[in-house]
Amino acid sequence: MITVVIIFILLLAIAGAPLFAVLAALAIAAFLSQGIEPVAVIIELYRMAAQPTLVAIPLFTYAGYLLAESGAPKRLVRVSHALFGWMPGGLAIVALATCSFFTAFTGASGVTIVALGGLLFPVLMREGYPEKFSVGLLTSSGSLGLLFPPSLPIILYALIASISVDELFAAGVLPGLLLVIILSLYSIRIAKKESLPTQKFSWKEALAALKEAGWELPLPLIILVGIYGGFFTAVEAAAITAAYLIFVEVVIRRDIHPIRDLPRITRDSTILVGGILLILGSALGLTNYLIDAQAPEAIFEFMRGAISSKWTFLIALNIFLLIVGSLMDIFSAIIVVVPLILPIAQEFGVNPIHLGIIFLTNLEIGYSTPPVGLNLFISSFRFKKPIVMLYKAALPFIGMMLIALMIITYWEDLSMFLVRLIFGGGE
Amino acid sequence: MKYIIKIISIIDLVISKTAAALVTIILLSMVSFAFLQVILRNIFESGIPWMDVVLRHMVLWIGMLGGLLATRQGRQISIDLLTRIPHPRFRVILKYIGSVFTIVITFILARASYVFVAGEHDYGSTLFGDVPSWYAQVILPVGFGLICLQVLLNIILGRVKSTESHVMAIQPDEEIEINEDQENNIDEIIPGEADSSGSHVEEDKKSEIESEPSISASPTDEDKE
Repeated sequence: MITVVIIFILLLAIAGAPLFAVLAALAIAAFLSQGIEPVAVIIELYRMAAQPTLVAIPLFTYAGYLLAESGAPKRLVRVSHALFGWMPGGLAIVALATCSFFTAFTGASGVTIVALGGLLFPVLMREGYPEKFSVGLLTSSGSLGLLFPPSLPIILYALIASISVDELFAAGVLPGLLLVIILSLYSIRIAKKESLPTQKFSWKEALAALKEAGWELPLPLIILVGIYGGFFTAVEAAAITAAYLIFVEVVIRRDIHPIRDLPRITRDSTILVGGILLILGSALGLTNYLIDAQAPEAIFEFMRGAISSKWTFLIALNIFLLIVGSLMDIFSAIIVVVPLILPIAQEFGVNPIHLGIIFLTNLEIGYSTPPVGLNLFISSFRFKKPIVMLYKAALPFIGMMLIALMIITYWEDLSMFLVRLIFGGGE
Repeated sequence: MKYIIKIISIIDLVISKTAAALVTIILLSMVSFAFLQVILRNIFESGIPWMDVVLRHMVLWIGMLGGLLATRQGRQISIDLLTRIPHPRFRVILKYIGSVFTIVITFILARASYVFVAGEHDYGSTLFGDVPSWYAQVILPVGFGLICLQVLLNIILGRVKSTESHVMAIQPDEEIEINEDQENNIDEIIPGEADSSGSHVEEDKKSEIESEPSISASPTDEDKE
């Protein structure tokens, strides 16, 4: 009976029923089968309100929306163009750099492609980059930067896995840079092959651009120095970022009108937060039930038959997560999958912080993986290209990112180096 | 019949406008309080002890009310695999099934949270000082109840019939042009790029409340320097 109910609910999930309702339904069904009232689901949901990191979620989301709606994307493109435009493939690197910066704040909810794609695509085309390359570049850049602080998926992962946000922020920096560098090298190669013209570096333009973006550019630095200098916590950093951006974009830059725009942006950011929190809340009941029922142990026992070493486990994990990443959005994937994978990974001796970085990198790639990666669809609508063309366009970039993923997965020190450097010890 | 629909759409509008107003006020005060707390803690080495509890419960309110707004706009996060299939009719049927399912589940959740909050009320648990917890927790039954009602309203007001998949909800219809007006130097384009007509994505024609796409790339720029 319970199996039939579960299969029915899962079918509804695939059919596009809201994920929070699906998770709540599964939890209710699971609890009822044990003779426990549905109120247990609410008790678990309410535990959310005991998580100190929770406050960072709406604040950083809000900061990302403020940044997206202001003139910051343009200023960022200008600055990176002035700084990297002289290199071969410079414009592609501009795209990679700005998209990363932007995604770190907006948390890869498709905002990057929408906000920056429209700015960068015409420019890339005009400078002679092949169309397929440009579309593929912007599609895969849409989630680049997920590993940089203060990205929302990192905060969410830390919250779910109960590890320190500060340590996970530090762990993401080098792997994030690796992804950007590998994609940059690929872009330089393409630009050289097409023998695209480069621009002359101009000190005047560089300084003017830097000055123009002078209010937004220091943000990552403020956050990093603040957190690692021990001046404030991740939650406080979120409060400062949001307050700072309101001040800059409304009062100084005046990109955002306090009456016409601010209430709308504020409301819109809560819609995303609401979506995430409802899923988080209803998943807490289900994952707790599964952990009480020792589901991770059962899966581990089952897997041990086929998988004996940490390395084969990591390969299996990568394949599994790429599939998850292309099916679910990153927030739901973290909320639903992490509690189950984490205990298994620890049995295999994978460090939870390293696991977080592997996890997020996989989901980042999954975003643009055919046939159903979300970025492909957003790009398809945004650039008005058929989805099949995007499959082809994204492939070389996925290939490059997979190479980076392999390095990130099997070179634990890349993730752990900064963590050890800053926090000592390592665990 | 027409009057009934009219009354229903007014109810719908009142709910969403109230929720939007509340959520805006709460988030803005959250930013102010959290920022104030940082200043108090770092500069004056004090801080309001109960502030953190209040902030976390404000997140709960934002979550529930934001979820309500997301429901109205059909922007709840879903796996949405089959709805990416380009077959409008099929998609609408699936959406109806999903909506009925959501109504049932949120109703159960609303009832369960009522039981939970009533229990906390009887037990007399407090948030901090002598402020009763249920003041903050009451958003759980109210929120789930309103989401349940909202899905019902969506069905009645024909929003479910919309054939768009939720992926499209992120698409602004601002055009990307590659030629003509942009043949000059990049440095000139970047500051003055097309000011797009903050257009809308949602098919929601009945109300004027969402006249902007929620995730949009279109700050209307006139380069105010």
